[in-house]
Amino acid sequence: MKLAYERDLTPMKLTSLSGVRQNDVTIALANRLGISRQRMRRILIQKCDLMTLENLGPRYDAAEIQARSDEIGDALSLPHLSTAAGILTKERADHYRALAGEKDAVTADILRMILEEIS
Amino acid sequence: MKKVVDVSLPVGPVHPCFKEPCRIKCETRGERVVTTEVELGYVKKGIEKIMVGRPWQETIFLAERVCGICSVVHNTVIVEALEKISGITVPRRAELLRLILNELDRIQSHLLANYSYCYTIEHETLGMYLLNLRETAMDSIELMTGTRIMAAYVVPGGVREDLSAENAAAILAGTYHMEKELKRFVKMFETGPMIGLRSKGIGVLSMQDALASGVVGPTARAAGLPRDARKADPLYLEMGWHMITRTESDNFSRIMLRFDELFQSLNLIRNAVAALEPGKIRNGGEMKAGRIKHTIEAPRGDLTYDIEIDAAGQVVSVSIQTPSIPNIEVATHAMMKDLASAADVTSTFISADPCIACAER
Repeated sequence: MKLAYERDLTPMKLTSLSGVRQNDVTIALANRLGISRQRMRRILIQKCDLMTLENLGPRYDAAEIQARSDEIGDALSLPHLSTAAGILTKERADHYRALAGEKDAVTADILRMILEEIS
Repeated sequence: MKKVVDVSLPVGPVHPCFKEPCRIKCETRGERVVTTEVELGYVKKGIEKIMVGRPWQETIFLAERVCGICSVVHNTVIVEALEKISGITVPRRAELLRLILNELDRIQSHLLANYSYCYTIEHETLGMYLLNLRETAMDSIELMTGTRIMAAYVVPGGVREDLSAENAAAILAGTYHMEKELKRFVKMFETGPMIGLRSKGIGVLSMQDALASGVVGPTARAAGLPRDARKADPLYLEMGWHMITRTESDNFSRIMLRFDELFQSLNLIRNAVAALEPGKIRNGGEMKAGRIKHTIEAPRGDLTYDIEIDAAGQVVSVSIQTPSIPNIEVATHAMMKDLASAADVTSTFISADPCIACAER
């Protein structure tokens, strides 16, 4: 249903992401996932609301602290995608953490699956 | 916003309870508010981008224009950042004058925040008392700087004007007047049964959400998180500053914490005035190239300027991280999640002291 008071926030979200701090975090997330900044921006604009994008910096810092004590999560960027950007639910993050714990698990494959899910 | 429930209820962008325009979109199920989303972009100024390429002298005035309510702290943090880049020292008298002005700014900001909350829960009498008391703080700021807002009082190496003994005495008298009146108003708030019904146990922020969002200032301290940039400032510690926290983490605790901090600010001002000794108010120095990330405690929490200056004295890049950004974000996604009534949306939002001007810097 299209509501009369809804407006397209894409330009405003892009303005938010072009801030110095937000841009740094976008690049850091893109590097973690091995994708371009443009693609990361597109994912963030599609999946996040305006305030999450504005607050990306402090949220990313909080995720970094969390990742220090979570080796698997850090390798798969789970705190960064769930705590910082909120584009992966906690349940899905736990699912990927369990996958990584299995025998013969390949980090690159799981990262590809995560990327498919959030794209 | 994806519609998942009964009714999408828009609050704002123009609303009697809001000082500035913003839209809160609420997804409701019956009377219960399930989720909310805040939409900004009505007063975006783009000051970060405007600063780039300009000489550092102009950025001091531009920084003040980020926010009219806490213009003093924006002025202070950018000047301190420039001083740190260039190794410029500040005389002790000027440091004390900066502290006095920043605490006066905190007092007027906290009083305005608590006024807004009382107004939102329709306790306009107490709200007006607080707004009237705020005028004493504004008068003191005017005595020090010559104007109520955007004074550009803090300049590299010191402050612009000295404080006369006569004006210092008037500021001291103002602190005693505010303390006497505040005690009465705090009692009204603390014991008001209707205030308690509208405030206690509403808009609770969990520790997990507080940690994940990077929430700062009184909103963090009311949730039990000891986050205050003043704890690393030796001058504040010398003047008797100590961390104030609460644990209830609801609307009531956020307002009460601001009241507690008001008494502390009044004490800090008195101690600083007592410590004032005759001396210089400004040192000289030369601006150098460099980059720094500098944080000080604004009335609403950590205010960080990440600024880079080139050899010609022009701004290469600047990032302004205002405390209202994490505070509005956490209010939206955590405090206003699963509220029992739509009537609590505005009061919970206002209890976090959201400054739209700061968020739309």
